Amino acid sequence: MKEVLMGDHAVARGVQLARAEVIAAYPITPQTLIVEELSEICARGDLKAKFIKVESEHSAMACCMGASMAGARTFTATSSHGLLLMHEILHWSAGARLPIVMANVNRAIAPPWNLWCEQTDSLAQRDTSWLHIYCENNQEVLDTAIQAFKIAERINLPVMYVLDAFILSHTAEIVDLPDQKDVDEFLPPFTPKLRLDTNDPHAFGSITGPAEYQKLKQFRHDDMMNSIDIIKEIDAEYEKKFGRGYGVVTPYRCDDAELILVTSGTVSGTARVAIDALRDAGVAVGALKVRLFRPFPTEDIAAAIGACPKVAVIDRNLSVGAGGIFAQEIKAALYNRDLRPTVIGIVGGLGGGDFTPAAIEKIARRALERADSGDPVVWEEL
Amino acid sequence: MDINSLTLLCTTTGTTGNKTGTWRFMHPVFETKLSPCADSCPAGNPIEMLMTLAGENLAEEALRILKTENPLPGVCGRVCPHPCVTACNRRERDSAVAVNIVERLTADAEEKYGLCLPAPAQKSGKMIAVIGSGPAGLSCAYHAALLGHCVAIFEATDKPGGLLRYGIPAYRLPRNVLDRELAFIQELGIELKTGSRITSDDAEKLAADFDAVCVASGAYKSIGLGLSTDIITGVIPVLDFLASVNAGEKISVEKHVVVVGGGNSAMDAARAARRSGARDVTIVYRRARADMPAFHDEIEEAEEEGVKLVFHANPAALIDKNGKLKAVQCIKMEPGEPDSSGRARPVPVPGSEFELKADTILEAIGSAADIPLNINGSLETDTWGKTNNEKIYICGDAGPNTRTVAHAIGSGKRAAISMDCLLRGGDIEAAGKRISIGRKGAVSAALYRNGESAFNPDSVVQAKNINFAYFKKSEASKTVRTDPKKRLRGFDEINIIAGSGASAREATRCFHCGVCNDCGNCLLFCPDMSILEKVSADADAPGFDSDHCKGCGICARECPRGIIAMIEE
Amino acid sequence: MDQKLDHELVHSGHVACPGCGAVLAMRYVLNVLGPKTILVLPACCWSVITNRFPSCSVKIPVFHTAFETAACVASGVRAGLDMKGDRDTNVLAWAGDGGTFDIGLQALSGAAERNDDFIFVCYDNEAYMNTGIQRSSATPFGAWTTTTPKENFKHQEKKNIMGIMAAHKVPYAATASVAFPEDLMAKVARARDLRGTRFLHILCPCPTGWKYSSDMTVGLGRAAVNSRIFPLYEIMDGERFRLSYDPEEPMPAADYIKMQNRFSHLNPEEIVAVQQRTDRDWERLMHTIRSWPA
Repeated sequence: MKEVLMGDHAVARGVQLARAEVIAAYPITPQTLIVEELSEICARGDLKAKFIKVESEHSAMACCMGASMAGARTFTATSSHGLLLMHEILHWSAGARLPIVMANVNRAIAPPWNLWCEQTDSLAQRDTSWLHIYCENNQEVLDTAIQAFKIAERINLPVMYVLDAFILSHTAEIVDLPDQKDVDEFLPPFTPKLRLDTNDPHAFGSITGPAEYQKLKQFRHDDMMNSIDIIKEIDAEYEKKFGRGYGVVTPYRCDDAELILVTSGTVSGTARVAIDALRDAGVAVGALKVRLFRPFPTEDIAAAIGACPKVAVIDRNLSVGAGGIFAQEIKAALYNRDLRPTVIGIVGGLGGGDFTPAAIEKIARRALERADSGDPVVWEEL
Repeated sequence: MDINSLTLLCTTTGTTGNKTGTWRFMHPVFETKLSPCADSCPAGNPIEMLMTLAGENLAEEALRILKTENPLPGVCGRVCPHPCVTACNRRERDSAVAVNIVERLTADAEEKYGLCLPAPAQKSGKMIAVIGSGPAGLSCAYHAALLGHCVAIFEATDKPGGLLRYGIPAYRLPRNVLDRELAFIQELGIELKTGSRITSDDAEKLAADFDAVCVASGAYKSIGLGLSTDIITGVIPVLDFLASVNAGEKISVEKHVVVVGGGNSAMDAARAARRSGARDVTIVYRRARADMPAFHDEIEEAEEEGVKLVFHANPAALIDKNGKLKAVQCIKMEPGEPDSSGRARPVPVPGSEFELKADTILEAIGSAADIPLNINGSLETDTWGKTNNEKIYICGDAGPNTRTVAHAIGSGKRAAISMDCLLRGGDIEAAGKRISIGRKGAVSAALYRNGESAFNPDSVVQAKNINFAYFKKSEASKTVRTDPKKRLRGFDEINIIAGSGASAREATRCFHCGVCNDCGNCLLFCPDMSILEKVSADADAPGFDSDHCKGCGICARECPRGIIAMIEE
Repeated sequence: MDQKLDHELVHSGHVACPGCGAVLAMRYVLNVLGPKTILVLPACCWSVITNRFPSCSVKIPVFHTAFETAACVASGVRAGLDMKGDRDTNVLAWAGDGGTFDIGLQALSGAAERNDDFIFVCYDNEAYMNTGIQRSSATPFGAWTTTTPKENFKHQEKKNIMGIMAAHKVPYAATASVAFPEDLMAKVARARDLRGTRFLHILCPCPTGWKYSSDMTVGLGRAAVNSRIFPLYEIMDGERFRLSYDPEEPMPAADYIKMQNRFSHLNPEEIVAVQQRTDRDWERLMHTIRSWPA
């Protein structure tokens, strides 16, 4: 059934449909609409869940860990500083192999205060063993909100899906909501593989020696790498049932492109408009949306890029002292391959700048003109 | 092993495989230990067990176990100077347990439960003669009869008891109590021949007629003052005086009585004189008050009853008038060089004479034994009382033994046990090792008969081994002394126990030094769960888990009664 | 034996220091709560005392968690269990003084304010012992620690955590000492039978950090109470008070201090100051108890 929903509300409705059982969350702009909507949903009894109004995001994630270890399907949401505050526990919950799902609204980090869209907050968590999924529009947010639980519970790793601050979180779009019955068929109740059970007592996370510790990390890495196929499988299943699938990357008019623009989040949608305009003008450009960031889908990206000689990555984020993070990861992923395009790292839109179609066209034309990659960071002022 | 990516996250075993016992450098040793009271009781009373039974109001059982060791607890509870109380570790906490009160009240339960004697051993068919029916002779006869022998007591006077009857006045030891306890003589089938003084003429016949003979004739030969008494009447040996008083003879005592000496006989005689009408009674002692051998309580009571005490003085000459004693000239004494006992020998202070009015002088400076048998010339005995004539024993005051009732009882018991070994072919030395309580000569008849061994005699529990935190403060029961004026009217018992329940109340104050009573502190407070419960209800004490005990020592500290010691490995 | 525990849920072979008071606390608490208990365990000595993988020294499920998070993880475990229909299993957060008074205080305050339903035990050895004896806000005035060496010993008084918990109006808060196990276990039983945030503050002497011979752990737990430095009492709903034990033989603070080398540098004036503070705090506590009896 179609409704007009802001991105935050799409998250809330997705969580409701997925029948989360324990929610522990702390408000932060622009995630607040998620927790407010969920509070109302729970208060009305439309979702049978415990909503714990914790006193900080660090406690929120820790609380989710406890609930998940007790065998409950668990959810939280945050943004920016809240996510940063959770950092320690992101590592912990992933190390504990708990299938917690979190929505993060990508917002810039202070100082100075800035509430608008930037991806550095979530990307700074890339080493925490959480899966990252970057959503382009509110429909995708809703669908990912449901898929995320199935993925997490299948592989026993937590999943974070992100949406752009204000551009999605507070912007209404048409969202098609599936029926609860169908969602229940797609996503049965959570049956944990690990649980705190007095009938079968174990200690989880005791001091462990170097050999076993490394083994655990290796298992975790292998499981995450193997999850790419699982994500695709679940996405295909979702598409079969609900008519919408997203894959892990989405190429657009890349086949004979001289230049491929790599994007994530809402920029991806805008990029396709720009690509169409450029193609109409005879410019051979394509766009590649990266949906899955962790695990990093090297093969899919390489396949999409193919023999294209030049790639311009648009990063709405920055690892200071190195460069845009998607650009870093793509360069690393392609380095050992036979086909190595020139990779231009474009950084712009930090603190909320707006990528218009015209801006993206300009980026593409300038990139085409470049002989080489240039500086590691090519700044774009919007 | 099935390794999947999740199993390495969760533990699978407990930790008992980790042998933390390797950490320690000390470990606990559980040993039932000797309590200081038991160590100090010459009669070998089973004090700790007595306290357990009395504390649970099991008066009959308490009496029974007392009687396995001591035929005269009602006597001891009244007249013994109770070294057990002096040694009691509770003294350091608040006040010593009044063991004597518990002993006395338990003994008096005879009135309800009867004598509660142990069952005698199988008859041996052997005959034992005991000369004298004072505490030593009575104890020897008692234990010998319980050990299955046929016993005959030869008592010179017409009633049994010795010093118990003729030395200690009734206000300290009521006659009905004494007679009640002496009923064992008849109950055990002991033949009592009163009016039978044994002389050296009878000696050969006795030695021939009996399988063993125990001389328990006491020490009645009074040591004189060494002053010229050719023409003087009124100088009386104290034991003669006391015998008359205690026999109920009508004594007319003159007004001014001087008692020379500082022991219990001197006190008893002085106080008896006061009761018999003497207005002015003075004890003259050549040393200081602190040196007096008499029991502290007795001295106090004597003073309450108006007895005067003069210290550092000795009689020098007697002053008479027409052969009748009128006064005694005394001279002050001062400590001189040490004598053989190590104490300073008192020497007269020249020119310090003074006179005390006296119409009677009681000589109470000591008495000696007078053995009526010829024992090949030697009176030496081994520690069991056996002379070099194998059949003949000496016990009590007649021998080289400490002169208290409790020591006499202990001495008689030792002689009886040694005689039993003699007559049944037992090994007294081996038995001695097994049945000795502490190292002061006390032995246990119960252990002798049941084959078990005494606690390690070197393991006496000290107050510092007791954890006072587990014993709420409380004051000891006390006897109440009757009013001194009332006391002087007669010979009624003067130390009264008021109220009921005193025995149980007092007995529960006992720490039970060195004996595990399952308080469970060690189990409760061990951080390594390394104390092992007793293997059976009879086991002495818990053990420890050598695999895991880290030797922290908490169990030793928290054992209330000092059973646990930490030993370096 | 009188004092055999019904449930011995700690194994021998754990790696606590000899004479560890914190192990006694765990034994007594688990004896009352029984095997249907889940332990939420932040960083503290007990993180190590549970031993190394693959073995565990307690016979109940344990979730090891980050230092600050005992209370909020416990909230989550309770919520998860409730959603699974389990209302019987006890949720026990077990934190040291660091994980309660300092780094864990925020989460504890949050949970207490929400009155989330679990038992929070602070086992207090009065410093960050697990990391090597550094001061915490539970370290008493005068104590040496590695971060308050004797030239600059701890000058702040011990933080009043019971006052803080009372201010949250939790249904039940109580102090206890491992030297008084009957009292401690009675309090655990009372806590067990209530709902909401229940808080127990258990004093656990530590031979390693307080610097005394390991056999004196119970003796010190007793002396702390008898000197009135660590009174035993309960607070119901933050406003009704009950004294558990009025020492029959009060001990001077100086005697308690002399039993521990962590105080060996204190001079007589400083010891007098401790006595004065103790007397003042006791008076205030007694006044409160008399004014607001249970």
